[in-house]
Amino acid sequence: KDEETDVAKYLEQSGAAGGGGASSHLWEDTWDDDDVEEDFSVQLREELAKATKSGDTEMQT
Amino acid sequence: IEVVTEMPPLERFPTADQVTYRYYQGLLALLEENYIKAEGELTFAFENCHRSAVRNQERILTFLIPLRMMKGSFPAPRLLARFPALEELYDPFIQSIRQGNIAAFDKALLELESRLVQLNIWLIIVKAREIVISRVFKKCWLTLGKASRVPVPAFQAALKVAGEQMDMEGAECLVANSIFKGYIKGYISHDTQLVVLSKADPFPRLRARGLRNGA
Repeated sequence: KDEETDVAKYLEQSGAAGGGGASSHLWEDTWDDDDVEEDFSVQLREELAKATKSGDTEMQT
Repeated sequence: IEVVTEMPPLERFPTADQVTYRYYQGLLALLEENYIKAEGELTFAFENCHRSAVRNQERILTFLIPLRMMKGSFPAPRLLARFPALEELYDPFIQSIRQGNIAAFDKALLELESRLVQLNIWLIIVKAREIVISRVFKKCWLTLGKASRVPVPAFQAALKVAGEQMDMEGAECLVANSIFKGYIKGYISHDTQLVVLSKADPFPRLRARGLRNGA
C-alpha cells in the first residue's frame, strides 16, 4: 500500500536525519472544526423543543 | 537522574543512548504531570528512534499519543495502523473525542481501564474526558447558530444527547470547569442561567489552547 511505504519512508528518514518537522504528516490536528453531525443537531433540537414544551421558559434563546 | 552534574552534554552521546535517556525523562515528566516537558522529551525520542526499532517506537508512542491527544493532535490512521496494539488502545478514545460522544468515551475507559492503569496513563486519559465534554458544548453552540449567549439548560440537553445525563447544577459545574480550563472563553451568569460567550473565538481549537501541565 502507498500509505504504508509513506510511513516506512518517514521512519527510515527519522532514523538517519533526526526527524525535525518530517513527522508532521503523521499527526492530524485539523479535525477540530466547525462541523456538527446531522444526528447530533437533530437530537439536540428535539431535546430543546421538548424542554420548551414542558414549560421551561429558560430554554428560549 | 538530573542530580548528576559532572557529565558531558547529552548531545555528545550516541543517538541511541540519547533516545533512551530522553524516553525515560519523558516518562518521569509524564508521571509528574509535567506534560509540556514530557511531550518534548518523547517527541525527540520518537523522531530520533532508529527505523528498525519498531518495538521502541511503539513504547514511545504509547505515551506520546495521549499527550498529543490533550492538545488536539491525533495520530494519522496510517501511523496507528502500523502499531495494532496502540490502535486497539487509543482508537476508541480518538473516535469518541472527534464525535463528542461521552457515552462511547466512558465505555472505552471502562473496558480499557486495567491496561491504562498498568501503563500509568489512566489519569491523562481521564483528563482527556474534558475534551469530549468541551466538544459537546462546542457542537451545542454551533447548533444554536453560534449564539453569543447559551442557556445552561441547552448545554445540559447537549450533554444528554452525548450520553451524559445530569441535573442543572452538574451541567453548570461542567461549563464552569470548561471555562476554567480554557476550553471555553466566557462567563456564567448564574442568576439568569446564561453562559455569556466571548465575541472572539469562544471555543478555541485545542491546538491553540496547547498543552498545560497538570491539566
